[in-house]
Amino acid sequence: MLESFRNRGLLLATEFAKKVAEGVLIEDILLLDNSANKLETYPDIGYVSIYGDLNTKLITRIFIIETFEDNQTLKSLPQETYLSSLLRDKKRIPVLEILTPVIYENEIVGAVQLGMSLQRIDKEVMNRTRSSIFLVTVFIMLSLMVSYLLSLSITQPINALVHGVKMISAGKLSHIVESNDKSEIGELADSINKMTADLRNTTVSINILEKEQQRFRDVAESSGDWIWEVDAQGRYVYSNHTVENILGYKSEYILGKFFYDFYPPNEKEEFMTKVFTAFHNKKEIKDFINYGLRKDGNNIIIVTTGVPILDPEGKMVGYRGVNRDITKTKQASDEKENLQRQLLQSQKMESIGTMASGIAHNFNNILATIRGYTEMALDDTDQNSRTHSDLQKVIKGVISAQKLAQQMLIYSRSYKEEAQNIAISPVIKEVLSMFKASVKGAIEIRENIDNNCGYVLADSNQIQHVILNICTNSVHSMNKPNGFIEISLSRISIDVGLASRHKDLKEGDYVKISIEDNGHGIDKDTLDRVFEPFFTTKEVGKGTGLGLSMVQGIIKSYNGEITVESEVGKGTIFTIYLPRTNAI
Amino acid sequence: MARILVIDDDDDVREMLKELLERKNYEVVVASNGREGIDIYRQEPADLVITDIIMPEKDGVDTIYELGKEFPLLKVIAISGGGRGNANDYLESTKMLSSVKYSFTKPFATEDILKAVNELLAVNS
Repeated sequence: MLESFRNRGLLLATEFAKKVAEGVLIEDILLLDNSANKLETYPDIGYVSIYGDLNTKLITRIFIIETFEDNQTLKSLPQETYLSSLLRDKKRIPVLEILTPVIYENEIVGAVQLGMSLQRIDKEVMNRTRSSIFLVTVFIMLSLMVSYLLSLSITQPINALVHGVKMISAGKLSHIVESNDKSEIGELADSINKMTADLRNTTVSINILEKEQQRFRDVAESSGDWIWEVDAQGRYVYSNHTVENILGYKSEYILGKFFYDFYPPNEKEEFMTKVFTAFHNKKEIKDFINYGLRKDGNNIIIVTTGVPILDPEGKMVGYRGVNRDITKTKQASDEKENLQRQLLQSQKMESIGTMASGIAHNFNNILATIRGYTEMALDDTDQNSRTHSDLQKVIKGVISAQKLAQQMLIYSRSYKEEAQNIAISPVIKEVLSMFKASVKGAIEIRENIDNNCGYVLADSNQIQHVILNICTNSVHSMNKPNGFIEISLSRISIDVGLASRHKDLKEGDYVKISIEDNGHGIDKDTLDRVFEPFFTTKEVGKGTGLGLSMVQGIIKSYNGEITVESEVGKGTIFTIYLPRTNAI
Repeated sequence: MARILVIDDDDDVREMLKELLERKNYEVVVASNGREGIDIYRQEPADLVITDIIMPEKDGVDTIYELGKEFPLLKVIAISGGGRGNANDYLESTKMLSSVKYSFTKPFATEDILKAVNELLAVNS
């Protein structure tokens, strides 16, 4: 490169020397100036000086100031071309200086001094390099941007996809993957969105299902009823925990067992038949009362309601329903029924009482008439006559009838004997000694008498009548050896609790007379009716049926109460309460 | 001749008593209830009243009480058939009235009635 630069310098200098030869000869400065100016177009020419004859400097043109040093002179005109490379001081710029003679007609008339510099070319090259660097940078930047944008157009949808998938997997099913392009990524996004929508619908139905299930579980487990499901064979496939309260078994134990495994043995067949008949007919089981055998061996009363479970073909695949323990309710309603029966009983007694007193009244009127006329007739007949004695028998009959009417009145409580303060223990002792004499040792009579029982307001004959009546009933109930009747007399204080259980007793001091036997006892149905007037278990003609009703009438008329407890085969206890009084 | 007023709602008893007393030569007037009895007595007071206690319209106790206020010399024998509520208590309560000299429960002995009648009318005469 330097070689070609040097050659170019030589060529430029010698050619320029030829061009200006004439001008140098005649020393035409204007012409020389023009020629020199034309050299400016050469970028590598730093300066040019033209010398004339006798070493005079005609002109100097400087194109690149840094290349030229002003103080240089020419000692003599050169005979040939000289070439030197110089380093100008200040900026250490390399300059190639060519000195060549100007020849006109084979005679040296002057010289041309030409400075060549690569500075401008360097600059040019630099400038060019700069602009190319800029261009390259711009290009790179542009390509970077383009590639970024390009990459964005690819990665953004992918990122959106990735984000979307993450959101969905985190459970945010409402998230929709944004995508506007129609590329494969767009299709993928659409597919994901579709999938999410499906998933959303499925999840919504799963949520609804779960809620429903939770609701069922909550209701089932909080229920006081035993909720169950059995398969077509009657095996439990579901049971809530309430079964533990009802049967005493845990629900886990119940599962897999048959419903009839929990029936008491005696009723098992009957209940099984009923249930399987319903199964066979795919019929609803409604308010079916049955018994359950508890783990502790007790029986409970259950009311069952169930519906068949049918598959799409209508085949029965099981039953589900509810069992309710109604043992307590049943007991309560039995008790209520019992109370109602008692009330009915007392109303019945009341009306019988009213009727009895009415009958007694009319009876007495009739008897008065019969007696009156009979006595008048007696007056009219001879005392020794047969008629007289017959009429006397009529009077006797009237008197018996009168006694019966009186008994009816005692029952209806409208007849009161003379009640007075009597010491109760001597009265009881007296009647017991009479009674002992009458049973003649066939039955053991046990006495358990408290002598300090004080007084009661009563008629002693009636009290004795009461005791005798009950004791006689006891004797009639004895059909076995070792029979005994135990008569106890004691004081008792009736408190609020006791008073609330006995409708005729009030709080206070009472005497208690109990008569217990080990006879055949009284069955429940009979026990309910023992105090009913005209009720008798004796053969027709053997008892009036007024005995115990009269006893009750007497005790009631003294503001007392009589109760009876009995167990068939074991015996009976009659207990009498009478208000205790202070002796006057 | 002594005059006796018999008050009883039972026809048979009333007739029987009438015959019983007439047999003993008493003059007998009858009434079937207390109101009727009071009316008769007011028209012409009897020497003795024999009255039932439980009767419709006006019962024996009221009758005796009312007549007793008007006629201080009233003499009564009270009889009762018992029954119907507190008939005997009623009969008991008639004993408190000064005019009631005797009381009997049905079916009474005719002898007892006649004895009482005799006694009461003997004092009167």
